[in-house]
Amino acid sequence: MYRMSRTYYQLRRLHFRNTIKAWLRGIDKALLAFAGVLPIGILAVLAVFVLVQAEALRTLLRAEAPIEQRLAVIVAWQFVTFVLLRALREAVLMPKARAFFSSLPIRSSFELQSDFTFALQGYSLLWAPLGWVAYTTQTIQAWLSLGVLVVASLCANLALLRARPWHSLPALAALLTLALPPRPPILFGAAAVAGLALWRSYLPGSVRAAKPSRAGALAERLSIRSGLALPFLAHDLRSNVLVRLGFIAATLAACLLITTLRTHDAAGTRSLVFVGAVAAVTLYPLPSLWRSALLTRLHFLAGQADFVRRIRPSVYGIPALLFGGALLVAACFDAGESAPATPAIFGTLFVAGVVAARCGVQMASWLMPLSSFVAVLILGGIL
Amino acid sequence: MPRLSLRALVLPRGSIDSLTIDFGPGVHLIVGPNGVGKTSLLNTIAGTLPARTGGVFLDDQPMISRSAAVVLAPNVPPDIPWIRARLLFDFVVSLYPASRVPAGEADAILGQLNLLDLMDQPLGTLSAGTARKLLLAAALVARPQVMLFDEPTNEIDAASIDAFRAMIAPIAARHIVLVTTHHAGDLMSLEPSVLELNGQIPR
Repeated sequence: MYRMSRTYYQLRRLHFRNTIKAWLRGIDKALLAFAGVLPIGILAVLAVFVLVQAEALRTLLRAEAPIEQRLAVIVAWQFVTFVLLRALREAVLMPKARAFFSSLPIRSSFELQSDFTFALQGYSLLWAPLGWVAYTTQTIQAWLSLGVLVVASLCANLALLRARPWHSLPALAALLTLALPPRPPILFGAAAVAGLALWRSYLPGSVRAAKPSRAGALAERLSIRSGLALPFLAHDLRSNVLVRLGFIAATLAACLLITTLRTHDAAGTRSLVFVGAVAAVTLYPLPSLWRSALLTRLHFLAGQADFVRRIRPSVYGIPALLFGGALLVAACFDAGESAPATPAIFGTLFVAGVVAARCGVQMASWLMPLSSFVAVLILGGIL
Repeated sequence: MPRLSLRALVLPRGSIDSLTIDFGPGVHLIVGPNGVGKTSLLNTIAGTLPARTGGVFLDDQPMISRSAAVVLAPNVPPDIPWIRARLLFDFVVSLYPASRVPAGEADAILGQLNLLDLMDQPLGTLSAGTARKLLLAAALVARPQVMLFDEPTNEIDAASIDAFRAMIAPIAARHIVLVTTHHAGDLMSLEPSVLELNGQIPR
């Protein structure tokens, strides 16, 4: 069993590296080209990312910080790490092959060790602000607080991403106790509760068979009317959409944070510009993705004109509503007096991206981020 | 009486090349070795796989404009484990408002295939054979003019094959039923015509 478990870890490491390599193929060149054209831009983005996160983490270490601010930092950390690990789920947790490996005699502890190790590696850039704060603070108390934040949040994320929501609850509760002024017994207790809950989720028999759920008559009628697009959204695309919305929410939160940190001048951040750009880039592939998922899974109905007609309002309408909603919310918090044409410009970009993705135009995958970036430079008053 | 016409059909997969043939009401078996293009042929008739050249016509109208007149029961159930069997069944049947049979008859078909007690289960919990029977039942209830069955007797118990055969026999009098199979013997009692695809394609 020991040898097999050790081989399992090596296999997971190989899978992690190869998956990440496969994802970065092509993107690495684009990033290098981008950095070559705008080296200062890349540096500025990274510096802002590290500084904003470090500043937020420092709030957590200040005993006099108000509880709502500490709570906001914890929620933001949990959200960012969950989105990150959700995006890296295939590399970190190897979910597709999980059912097969669970039939082999592999110890739960080795499984847990592999998941934990690769999740920590998956944090990648998040270690920069953590390391910076730990280095500049240099107190045991601070290191303890940061360590418990990382561990409790990781326990909650692993339980959630392995579809054990009940086992994530103790870890989430432990995470929230960090909003209280830091005391070693509380911190050790929180880490122990989160770790124990995660460990229990790895024990055999921790998952029970789900009972078949039956939606109401109205929901069933809606499902049929939408060509099954709505249940597809609720089941297969739920995480995907939440991650996309997470990026938009994180952008808005960063804009608000920067506005509050900019005490040296009266100028506000043009939230509408930044959120509009991120919303256009993150939401434009959604209709094409949704449509192709439906037509692929229900391939035997793909030739039915009525099926294609029924899915159209949902797959195009809902992403458009989400995009419009994001702009509307951003406009409410826009402190920088964005140009009146901003929504129209990003709306046009979004529509162009949707059409390009639908027509299978490959270059949309780099043209859309580039166009949005240029629009941000112009409309955001950065140039 | 409906007439399905394939005109100089060349498929992107398999070895079907310039196939021209007419099908009238009745059961038509399509047989041949693996990879010859049996499933691709059904997919092309159903409009899910575009032909490289040639066309498919129903009563001299392009099939693409008559999509509500054809149903395909695939050989592999869709990969949607969370969907309730009843929801998938109702959805497929809802695409054929003009031709579907009344609710009472639909329940009888489900009963004959022993599916009535399983309709509240998620598709992923059904056995492979039961999931296939669900799609056969949906096609039988939808009952458009052209009914395509891709290897319908695979993985299905003997009693359900008998029930399927018994239900197809009266339907075939007025509908065009195309069946691909490796087990032609299961359906020979329906006195079908046989189209053999083995590289010697009839023109």
